[in-house]
Amino acid sequence: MSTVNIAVNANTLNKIWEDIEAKINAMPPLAASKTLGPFGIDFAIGFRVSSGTNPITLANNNVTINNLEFTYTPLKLTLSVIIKEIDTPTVCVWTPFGQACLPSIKLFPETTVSVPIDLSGIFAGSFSGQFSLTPVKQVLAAKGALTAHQATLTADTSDEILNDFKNLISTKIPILPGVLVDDIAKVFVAGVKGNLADKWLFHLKDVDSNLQLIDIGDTALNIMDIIANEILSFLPAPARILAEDILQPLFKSIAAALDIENDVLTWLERLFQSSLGIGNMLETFFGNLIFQMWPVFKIEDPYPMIAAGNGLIAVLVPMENIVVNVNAPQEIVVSADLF
Amino acid sequence: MPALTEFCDIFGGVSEQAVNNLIADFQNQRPSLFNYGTGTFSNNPGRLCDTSFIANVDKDVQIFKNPLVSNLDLLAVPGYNGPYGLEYCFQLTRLAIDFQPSNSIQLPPGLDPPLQNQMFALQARIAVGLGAPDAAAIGLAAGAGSSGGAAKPTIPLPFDPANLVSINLDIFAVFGAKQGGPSSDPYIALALNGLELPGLVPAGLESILESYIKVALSLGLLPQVKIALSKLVFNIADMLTISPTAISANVPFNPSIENDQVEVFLTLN
Repeated sequence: MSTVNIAVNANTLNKIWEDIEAKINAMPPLAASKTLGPFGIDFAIGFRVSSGTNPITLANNNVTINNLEFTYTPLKLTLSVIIKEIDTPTVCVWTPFGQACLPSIKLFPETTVSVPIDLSGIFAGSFSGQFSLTPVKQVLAAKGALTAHQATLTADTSDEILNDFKNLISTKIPILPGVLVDDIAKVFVAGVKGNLADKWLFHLKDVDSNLQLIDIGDTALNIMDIIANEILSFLPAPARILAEDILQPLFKSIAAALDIENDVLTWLERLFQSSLGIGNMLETFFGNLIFQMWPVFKIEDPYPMIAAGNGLIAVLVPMENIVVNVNAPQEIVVSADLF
Repeated sequence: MPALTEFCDIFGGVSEQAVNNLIADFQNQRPSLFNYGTGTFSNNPGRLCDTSFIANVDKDVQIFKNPLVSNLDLLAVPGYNGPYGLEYCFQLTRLAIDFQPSNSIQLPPGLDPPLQNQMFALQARIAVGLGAPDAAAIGLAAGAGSSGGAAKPTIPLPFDPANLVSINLDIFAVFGAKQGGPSSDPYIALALNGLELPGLVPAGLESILESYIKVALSLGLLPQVKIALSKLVFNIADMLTISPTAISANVPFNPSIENDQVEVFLTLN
């Protein structure tokens, strides 16, 4: 057996997750618009992810992400309605001198009335899921007929990876405008693009995930926090901090016990999921896109065991039979044969 | 089965076959580090003692114009002041490693097989060739004037490549890894536990060469292989800082040589 084994425990995976979380928080907001008759809605949704301590655990031969909380910020809705032009009718009367008509008078021109609503930082959702760790070999067309050593030394200046990501995003979420697709793709390209050498990319593949677009309890907690901040804002800082420390446990117990569906929140959740298709979009985004574009780690193949130097080429070692095993609850083991 | 990361955050294990494959890749991609010779041999690798490696050389060696043979200066003749020198070649033609337990290298009796705990064996074959000049060439050199005090010979003594005088020598050595130094700045080093040149006659010659190589390794090469553990702290992709796991009852050796592999235990900082 010409095997190399590398084992990584859950603690290390959580450190890697911190990097993923930073990338998600760096993404530009999603923005699009939808028209329903005379009514229109423009929205911009961004996310701030907060995963707490050690959100990643290993179970059932999969990598589990537990209770990832995210807050919608920015969350801006612009509701608009087009009011048609109102004209008076042309009125004609017969006079002894002939027909006399009053001209149509434009009482009200066509007008678009917009109501901007800023709900940033209020609504919160949650995400959890189980993923398998899947190695995928990346072979760039730009590599062409280059040898292994030539590919290692040649930077990838093509847009192949960027175009792949853009196709992936626009196929999964067709509602997104091209500029936004481009911006999102560029955030993730930097983590993958390098030289033209073949690479093994290790992706988290969705096995089972649960996306709760609006978590009632967490949203209520945010609302109470905002209200409390407004009420307490007149207090000097030490007194305000003391008041917040007293109120926080109360707010959290209310949020935990809250199990009723507010009419407004229910309406908004249904609006997100059905009329706007945001539910499917976010489910796709969290469950598939991010992990398809961001590999947990990557290895060149052949692997540069010894770097080039003193005028001599690098020593590249080919790898085959790459296998990933999840040894729950402790570790992930990656095995490969060196030739 | 206990977890590999039970006492560390990251575990790395490399089997001896993987290491032997790596050595072969090293030989095929950097042949000049294993083959040395004077001008006749560096310009014509086909005249070396052992030419079997040429067929396995990676094609990128030629594409990137890397040499197959490292060039050496001519061998000076003691007491001779002329410009001529002897041509010779030196090759490391076979290199293999065997981690404890012993199962791929047959150690000679002088090394007390089988391998003890935390030991590994190294087998190497060295080929040495000398371009022996005939009487006419010697006469040519003798008739040449003085080189005028030049430090090194500059003209190779002609020889018939078909008459290259060569010898193959097998070397067996047993090493162990050890940690040393103060707790504030520990290091990892290799220790030579035994060396044999079996079958060399007369026995006195074998003893002389073994002693010389032992001294050269112990005083010359192995001290340079000492690696400060502080130098092994490094970042992975600017997000993970790792260092070797400290020695403890749970991790008595780091690196550890056992089960036909070398194992390394790393901890996140």
